[in-house]
Amino acid sequence: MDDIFELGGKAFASRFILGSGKFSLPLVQAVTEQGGAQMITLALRRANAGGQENILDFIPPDVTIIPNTSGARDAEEAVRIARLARALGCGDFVKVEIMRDTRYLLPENAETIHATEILATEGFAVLPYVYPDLAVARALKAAGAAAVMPLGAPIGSNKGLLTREFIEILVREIDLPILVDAGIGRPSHACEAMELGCAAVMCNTAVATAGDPAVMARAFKLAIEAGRAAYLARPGRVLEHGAEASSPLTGFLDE
Amino acid sequence: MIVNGKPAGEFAGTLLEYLLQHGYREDCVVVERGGEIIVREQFSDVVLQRNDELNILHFMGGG
Repeated sequence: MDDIFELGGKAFASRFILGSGKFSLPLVQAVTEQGGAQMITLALRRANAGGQENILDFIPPDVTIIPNTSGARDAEEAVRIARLARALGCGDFVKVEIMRDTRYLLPENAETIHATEILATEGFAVLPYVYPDLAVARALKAAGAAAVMPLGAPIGSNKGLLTREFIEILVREIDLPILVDAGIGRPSHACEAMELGCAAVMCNTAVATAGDPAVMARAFKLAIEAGRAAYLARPGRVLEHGAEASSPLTGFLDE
Repeated sequence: MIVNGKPAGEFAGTLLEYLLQHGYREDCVVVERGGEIIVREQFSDVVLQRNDELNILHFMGGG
């Protein structure tokens, strides 16, 4: 079955977006390969003097780089980071994340809409990270976003789909890929997001904090594939009351 | 000059020469000079000035 995921003008077979933070460099390569991820996020930071390995050396060449704007506190800083990241020559994708709150790391939705507007006009494929809000998602669509990335739970919390009801609303109402980001802590959470109709799942901490990150990356790959297959298969109905036998109730002892 | 937020003395030469002498991977960095983006292809054309403020940036792990 061909189930191609189109995003920002590119086609992907994998719906697993891997965040590359908190890993040693060789582990980045292992988890990318084991997770079958075709998209990976990176941050832009000051480089240190002195010869050193670069994370790009550890990312397979066919994997699409998605720079993030982490560290940005407003739209202006996010746009600055996005332009610098694109100048590194790894394509037009950018994950816009803008935060001022350092305790809960919740995104600044209004600034994110503004940055999306500017960057989309400049030809970026913009993936905005937001708190799931229907009005915000509609504004992002109007601003030219390539997708919407609602959070499932606070960043790095591994708590799962705490915002499930609102993500479901976005899936139903917004004609853009919905990519759940942040808070996904277990493969079952990722599977659930895909069953709801999300187009892809991004996770980082769940893999990085696992006892065996490479094996966990593989578990996420399988869960995302299972959830996607279940969504395409259209899950059966839920009974409001009572039960319905799976085996025939007649034909032997009742005679 | 100020490089990555710290005083870095003076340097007579091009940006490319500065990067190579200080062990930066010129194929993996982008430079911001006074708010202007300088890409790899321009590194050898840019002659550094004593009052330049540079940010030398690269990708690293991030979610």
